[in-house]
Amino acid sequence: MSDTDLIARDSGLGRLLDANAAPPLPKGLADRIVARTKDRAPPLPETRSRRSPRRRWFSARRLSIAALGAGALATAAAATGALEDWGVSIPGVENVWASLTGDLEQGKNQALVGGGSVGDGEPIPAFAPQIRRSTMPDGSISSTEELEEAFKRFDRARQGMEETRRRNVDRGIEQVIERRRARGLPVPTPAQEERIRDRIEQSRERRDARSKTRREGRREALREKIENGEEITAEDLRPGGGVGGADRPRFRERVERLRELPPEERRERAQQWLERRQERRNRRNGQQPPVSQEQATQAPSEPEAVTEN
Amino acid sequence: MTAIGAPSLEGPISEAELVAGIAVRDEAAFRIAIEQHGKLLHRIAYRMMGEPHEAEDIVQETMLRLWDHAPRLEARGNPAPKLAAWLKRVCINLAIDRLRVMKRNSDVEVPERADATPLADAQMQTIEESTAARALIAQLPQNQRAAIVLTYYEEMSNSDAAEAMEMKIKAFESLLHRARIALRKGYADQQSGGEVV
Repeated sequence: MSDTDLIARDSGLGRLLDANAAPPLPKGLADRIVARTKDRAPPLPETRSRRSPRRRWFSARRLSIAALGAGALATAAAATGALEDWGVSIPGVENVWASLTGDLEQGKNQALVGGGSVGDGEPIPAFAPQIRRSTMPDGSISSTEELEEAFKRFDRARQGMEETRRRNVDRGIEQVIERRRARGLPVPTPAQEERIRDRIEQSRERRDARSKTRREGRREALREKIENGEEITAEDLRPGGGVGGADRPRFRERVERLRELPPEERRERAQQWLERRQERRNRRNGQQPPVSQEQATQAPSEPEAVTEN
Repeated sequence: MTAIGAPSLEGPISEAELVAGIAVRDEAAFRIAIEQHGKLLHRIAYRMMGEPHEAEDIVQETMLRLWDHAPRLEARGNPAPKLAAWLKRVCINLAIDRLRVMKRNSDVEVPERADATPLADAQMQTIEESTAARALIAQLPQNQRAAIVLTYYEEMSNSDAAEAMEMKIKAFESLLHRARIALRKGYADQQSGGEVV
């Protein structure tokens, strides 16, 4: 940049700029600043590490190598059929394409390892194939012994999932406390933490008890089916399928119909459903509190609104 | 609130010692930092904002950021952190952020200081000039304004000012060049009776 570019102090512009004198430092500024430090929360911990770009590059390279290595291992495992034995699903190209283009019905039904379709088109979670392979019967069940054996397998799988869920909740509590501690926020005392865990445990037990009651009802119905000489398929054993869940396709049809309705009518239907639900509750509890409009507008198009329609 | 293990504050104190002192929550070290850097920060903030209350607010926030970040600055330690440069950078960034918000929320660029006392002619002229100067600076975009404040008013070298604004030197020089052109144009407009945009 040339010197002629500079603004000379003795030029008209320089003199005008110099007229902009800064006022002196306000009195008591230091005291005010120091006072503000007293109730200042500690800064949040850094979310990203301050590593140099070189370190980042090394890290990225390591990640790339790891990804390539994992890909090579997966390819080798897939080629030898090992993944199939472990119950890991590998979607084919056509399934990936189908999921991208929205042709899901075709894609989903083909994506399952070990055969069998989802039936009503419901997506199966990523972990489902593993559980399915170890618990679901391959063919139909025609005897009580087979059925009881299947129930035992479900119970074992359920126990494992519950253990995992419990561990996740415990870890979640610890992480929340850790984050609060890192931010300098108050954390529960051991006694409070114990109470929180107790409450969660109680809630878990209540939920498990409810779930067990429901399950037992379904199991009884399935046992009756066997006793009546009927066969039970994997579809009947799946949550939402078979006994007690046989109206799943109808439910979906209702949801679809509801979605096609204009918003006003949907709201009206939701309101009607809420009123009916409230009436049923009142009948159970022997009281009659009114349904509020606010309650009615909370979930105008919830699918649940149709299930009990 | 002098912390145990804080460096001795007697005699000349280096920036690294100052940061170390603040990192262990030594109030005396913090006050020294305010005393050493407060005036400069206030000048920069005032000339950026053109308003004393805003300027004080920015100085306070800058120093509080130092209070918050001192442990981290100290942890970086080697090489010793350039405290003055860091403070200037924070101050400039805060001012630029605030100007952006003000620009979004209001059309008023040049705040006027209300003064009900009758003014002598000379005093009045000084105030008019000062207002005109502030209007001239206020017409500049935030980054150009910062470039002028740092190089013209604070007489910082281009490289130091570029560092304070976290810019490459070439980019900064280009910015400064544009700022000077805009200032000259604005000044010419003022002289010809035109309004500062």
